Amino acid sequence: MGHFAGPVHQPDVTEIATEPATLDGTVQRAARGDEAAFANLISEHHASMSRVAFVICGDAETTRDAVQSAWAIAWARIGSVRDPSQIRAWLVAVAANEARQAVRRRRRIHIADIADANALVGDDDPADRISVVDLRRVLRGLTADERTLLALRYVAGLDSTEIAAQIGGSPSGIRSRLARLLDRLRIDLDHDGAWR
Amino acid sequence: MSDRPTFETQLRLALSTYVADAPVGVDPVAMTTFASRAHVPSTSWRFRRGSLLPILVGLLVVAVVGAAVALVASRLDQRTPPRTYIDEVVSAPDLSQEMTRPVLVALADGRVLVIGAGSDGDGRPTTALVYDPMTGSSASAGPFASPADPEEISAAVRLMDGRVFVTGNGAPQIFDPRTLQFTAVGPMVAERTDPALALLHDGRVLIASGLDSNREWLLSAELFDPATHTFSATGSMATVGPAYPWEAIATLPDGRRRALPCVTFGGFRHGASVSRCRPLSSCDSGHDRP
Repeated sequence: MGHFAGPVHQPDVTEIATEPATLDGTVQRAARGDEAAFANLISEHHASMSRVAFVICGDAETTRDAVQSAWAIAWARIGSVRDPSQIRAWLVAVAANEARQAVRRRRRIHIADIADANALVGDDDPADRISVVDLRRVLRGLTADERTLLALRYVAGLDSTEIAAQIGGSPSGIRSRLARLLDRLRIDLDHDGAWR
Repeated sequence: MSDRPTFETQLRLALSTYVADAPVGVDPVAMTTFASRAHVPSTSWRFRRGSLLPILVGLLVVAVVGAAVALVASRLDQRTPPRTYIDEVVSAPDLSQEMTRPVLVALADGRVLVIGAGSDGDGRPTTALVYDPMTGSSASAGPFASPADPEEISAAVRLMDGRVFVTGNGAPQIFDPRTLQFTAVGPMVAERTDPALALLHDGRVLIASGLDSNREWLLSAELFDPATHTFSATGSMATVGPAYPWEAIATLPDGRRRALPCVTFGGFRHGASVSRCRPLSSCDSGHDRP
């Protein structure tokens, strides 16, 4: 990296001595530049962020870069998190945004061959294996924004209110977009009647 | 009732299988070290102190340079005719109206003052217009300062200051190309119709001969001073002839005449057809007489 100047954090907490050793406290310490607290956040949320980014990016390498970039942003801006209970939603949203940016820079979606896809599933049910192959095909046909919505809802498990708070818009608008997206996926994935 | 999972449940399960290949492994300490050292550009752009001054200076420089270029371009455009014609006659758009027996004067900016009567000339008032040979556009000029019938405005010459001296049957007047208006001057020393005009090198105009009230050719001549708008008598000619004295008088070229296109008319009484040429001789004024 060409720059090693650390950002200045401006935590919005004042009672340091009385803060509990909870998630809130971890976020607040991380916001003040506590590297141990920040490492705890990484341990807890890195996997969720990677899974969300993977749905959007489609390959491990781009996912790794996107999540790494997301953690750098998280370090710099964690002080802007007003509600520590929303730290997970905020982190996965940051990862999703970095993944979208990475996809746009890459300008193409990684295309994995079927053999690789089968290898991912291993010894699972053959029906699931086919489903993953279909899912990969369908995901390639979605836009980055649509994959982001899908990942935040069904991989990160955020509800429409949380998604709206993180990416903008209203919860009802998010629900409408999700409903239209599900209709498309249902048609695309149900070509053989297996998904109903 | 079927216990088959809903589509959303199937989708969630498929996605969980799909993301099994996501790179979830991480060294929290190493990632923290990276994140804390990484440079993250600010998402908000705002003026820094002093950043406005270079922008304003740059805009000022651009404005000054642009104005200078526009000024030079306009000067060059004025000095250089749009096209140079050498021994060449090309077609040009018609005048906005027909002109019979016109008097032509090339103006300093390349336009042409055209004074004449309408088609056939009989009973048609004398009119004037300014014709641009380059664009083919015509603009009405006048009215004349003195009442004039089609036969009265018979001679004109461009003065050194760009104005035009026109005269006919004792009704001398000055045309200003900037306002397209005529202003009366005079009176003349002698009333004369169809005199011959010549611009002298000192800026005055020699007005010679012409017909008197008895339709006899005059031997006398007079001078017009554009600076004072006054006329004064000068020496008389020894003889007059042949019948059209304007063909026998001209100002010798002084070598400084600009190469402006002039307008010639294709034929008598049908002056709407116009051609352009750049003769090497004078093109300040001309007559299309039978």
